[in-house]
Amino acid sequence: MNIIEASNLEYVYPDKTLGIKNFSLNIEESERVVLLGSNGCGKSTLLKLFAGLIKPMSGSIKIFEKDVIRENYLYFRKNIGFLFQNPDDFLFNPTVEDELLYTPMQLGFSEVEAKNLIAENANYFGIEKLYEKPPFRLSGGEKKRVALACVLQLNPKLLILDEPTSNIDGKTRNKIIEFLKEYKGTMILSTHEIDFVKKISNKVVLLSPDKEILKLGGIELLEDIEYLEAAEIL
Amino acid sequence: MKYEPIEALLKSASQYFEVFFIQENIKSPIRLVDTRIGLIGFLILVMLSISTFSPNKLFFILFNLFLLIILSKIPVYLYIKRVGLMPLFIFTIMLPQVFLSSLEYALLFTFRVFLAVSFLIVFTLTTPFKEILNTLRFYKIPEILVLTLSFTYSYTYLVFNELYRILVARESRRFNNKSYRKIWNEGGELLGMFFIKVYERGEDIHLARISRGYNHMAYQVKFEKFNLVPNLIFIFYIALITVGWVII
Repeated sequence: MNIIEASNLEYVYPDKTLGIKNFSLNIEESERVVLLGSNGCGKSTLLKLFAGLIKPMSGSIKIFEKDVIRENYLYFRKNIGFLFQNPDDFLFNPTVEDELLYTPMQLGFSEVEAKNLIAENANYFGIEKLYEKPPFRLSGGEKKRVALACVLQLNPKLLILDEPTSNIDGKTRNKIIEFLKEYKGTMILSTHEIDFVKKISNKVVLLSPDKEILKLGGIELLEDIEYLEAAEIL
Repeated sequence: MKYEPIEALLKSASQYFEVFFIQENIKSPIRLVDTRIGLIGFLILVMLSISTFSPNKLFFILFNLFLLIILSKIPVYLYIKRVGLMPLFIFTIMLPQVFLSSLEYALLFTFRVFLAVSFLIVFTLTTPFKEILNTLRFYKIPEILVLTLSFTYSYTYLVFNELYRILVARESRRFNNKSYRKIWNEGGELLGMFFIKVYERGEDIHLARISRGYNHMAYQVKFEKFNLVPNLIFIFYIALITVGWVII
């Protein structure tokens, strides 16, 4: 089953800034894809397109072989976990417990069901002691762990992570890597960190500063200095 | 330097408002009172505060406000922090009334508003925000108003946090003393930048909401278990204050 089928995608922001152009990619079930590129090459835009949060200006995209239309939104929300780059944007509830309850409650779970659901992830990420705290009072690493626990509430089939290891300490980073290694679903993430890519992915998409695909391949692509320099990663 | 008083004031104000609505998770006995009853009780106290110009009645309400703060176990410093310069602000607005009516009128009006807002501060400090929203829905307040309140709550922090960041960033890159004209121009740029940044962050937060299942309806939680005794005590207390207010 194709999880993502993207063909000739183009996205332009309202201020006419080009987000991505001429982008085609198929992602199959259980693939672990990394979008690698310099700042501003369109990684975050692509991830939002893959999550069905924004629509392309031209080209077509299917997620779980379904069109990105309103009727499919609920299905997408239940099956896609999206971690934003900046946890401050992602966490908007009064307390950590409210954050964890938000998605299951929003998707129609009862309060008791939702509370049972959040306990396991909270325990795994060591955030159960933070339940009463307002999210903005947490440290960077704590925010990231809370955000990740929120994303994983419903065991999404597709996990989309926008720079999951940026601005965090080594301990949190290792915890995230440990989790991602064990994760069985399909995963798409963006990062600048080559060593991190080597640990968790099996497919690499190199994006050029011109916001196009530069090269597609396995992790052996990370040994090709010429391409990495062209992508302005090195 | 020339800009310091204005920017220092803006910085303090943004830090103050950043956490103005944020719960401090006080383990108050008021939390034992059902929020639906609590809201009505506090609204009665607000009504009593703004329905009189009698100094005796207002001082009676003030006494009960302090009593309530002590009984609620709200740290006094926290209450003072929340009230802040609010009375001075209200009096400034009322200043024309000193000349149009009298000083006494302006002072009593300020006193009334101060009491009313204080009760609302005590209520919000002792009640989780999601329960307040739930209670508003229970009383059939239109969903759009409840959602607006909910968004205001979560975006207040964002707005003032962004302002604070801009001010600190400006401060870190400023070296010379400029003319007032230049400072005025830069102030305009700051304001424009502030609105653009807040708008962009607001968009990101909205996308995050959608990615987490937001569908233009907020979820509802169940009310806490109804405890008869604390509710009866609270109702009795409000009734006593009301009777006292009428008698005085």
